[in-house]
Amino acid sequence: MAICLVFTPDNPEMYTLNPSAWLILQLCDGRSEERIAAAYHAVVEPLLTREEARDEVRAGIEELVGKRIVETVSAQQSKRTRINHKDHVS
Amino acid sequence: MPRYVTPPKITVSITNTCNLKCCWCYGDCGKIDTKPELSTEEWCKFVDYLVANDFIRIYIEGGEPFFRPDFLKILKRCARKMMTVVRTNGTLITDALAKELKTIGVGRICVDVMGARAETHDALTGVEGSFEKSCIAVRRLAAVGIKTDVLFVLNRKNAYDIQNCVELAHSLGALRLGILRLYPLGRAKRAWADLALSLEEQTSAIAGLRSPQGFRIMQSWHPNDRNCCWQGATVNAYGDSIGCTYLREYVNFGNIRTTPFLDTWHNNELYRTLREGKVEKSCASCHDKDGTHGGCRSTAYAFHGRWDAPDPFCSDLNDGVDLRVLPKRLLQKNT
Repeated sequence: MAICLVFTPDNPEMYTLNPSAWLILQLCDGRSEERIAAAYHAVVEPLLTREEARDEVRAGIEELVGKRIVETVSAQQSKRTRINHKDHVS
Repeated sequence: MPRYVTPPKITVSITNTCNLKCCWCYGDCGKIDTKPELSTEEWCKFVDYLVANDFIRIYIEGGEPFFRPDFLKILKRCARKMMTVVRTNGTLITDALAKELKTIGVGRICVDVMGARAETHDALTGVEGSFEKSCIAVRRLAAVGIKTDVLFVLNRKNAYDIQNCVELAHSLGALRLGILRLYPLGRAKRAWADLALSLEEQTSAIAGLRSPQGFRIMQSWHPNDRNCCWQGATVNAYGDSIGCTYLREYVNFGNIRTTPFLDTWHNNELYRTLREGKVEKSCASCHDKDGTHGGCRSTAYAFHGRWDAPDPFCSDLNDGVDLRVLPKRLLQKNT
C-alpha cells in the first residue's frame, strides 16, 4: 500500500496523509473547492453522499491549508477561490 | 517481502570526529579520523541523489556534525529539500549558529544531555564544562524556534538522575526527552561492566517517570521495543550502507562510492532479510508498534549471535539473559 509523506520547508515539518487527505491534495491543482468536491465525490461514491463528500473536502482542505501544505490562490478571471498544492509530495 | 519498495528517509553519520570524549561512544570518535571520510563534494552529491530518489527526511548524526568544518554547506543542501534533523552534543552551538540554523530551515535538533548535573554529564563526556554548553544549546535552539529534543543514553552512571533530567529538559525548552538504550558498540562495549544496567534496573529507572504537561518522553523498552530494520537506511562517514547506526559493527551492504545506495537496498541479501522481519518469536505488545517483529535486531544479534533471535531488551523476550554481561565473542577482534 502506498503512503503519502509531505514535507513543508517553510515551516519544517513532515506529515503523513491518510488516503482521503492524499486524494484531496492531488485534486488541489488550481481548481475551485466545488470542483474538488465534485471530483472527490466521483471517486468515493456511493460510500459518501454529495453533501458528505463536500464536508469531507472542506475539512480536508482546511487542514491542509492550516499545515501550509496547500494554499489558496485567487483565479485571474474569476472571483472564486482556487486551491493549489505545493511541492514536496513523496 | 520487505515493506518499503524504496525508503523515504535515511540516517547519515556524517563524521566520526568529535570534540568530546564520551566513554560510551559507539563510533570510538576522536578529533581526528585516520580513515578517509566522504568529502564535501561526495556528501553533496549524495544529498542530490537522495532528493532525486524521493527521500523526504534525513537524520544527521556523527561523531559531532558541527565539528566537521564543511557541515553547514552540506546542511544547507539538505534543509530545503528534506525534513532535516540533526543530532548534536550542542557544545559548538553559539547564538549566531542557532539563528543561522533557523534561517537554513533545520526541522529539528536533538541534543545529547547525559544527566541533570554537570558532574554526571561531564564525567560521561570526558570534557569539563560540556554540560553547561549542552544545556545552553538547548535553550538557544528553543529560543530561536527550532523544535529541540534532549537525548539521554541510560546507563549505570546516570540512571539515578533521570527524573531530574526530564525536568531539566523541559525547563530548557525541549519538547521531548528521548531515553535511549546503551548499545554494546565502540567504547560502550569496552566499558560495559561499568555502564550496563540489568534489564530490571533499566525498566525500573523508566517506570513511573513523571512528565510535565505537554512534554513527551520517548523510550524503546517494552512495549515499545521496535524492530526498525524494515525501514532502516543509513550511510556512515565512509560511505558504507549499514541499515542502522546500531548495526555499524556487524554489517556492510556496500559503499556508495562504488554502488548506488538503492542498489544496496534492493540487492544485498542480508539487508533484504533484515527488512523482512522474520524472527524466531515476537512480543505481542511490541508487535503493535509499526507491526514490528522481535525487537531490535542489533541487540538481538549482539546477545544471541543470530539475526532472527528475540531481543533480550524486551522484558517479554528476555529469557533470563543478563544484559550486564556481554558474550565473549563481542569483545573479540572483527566480531
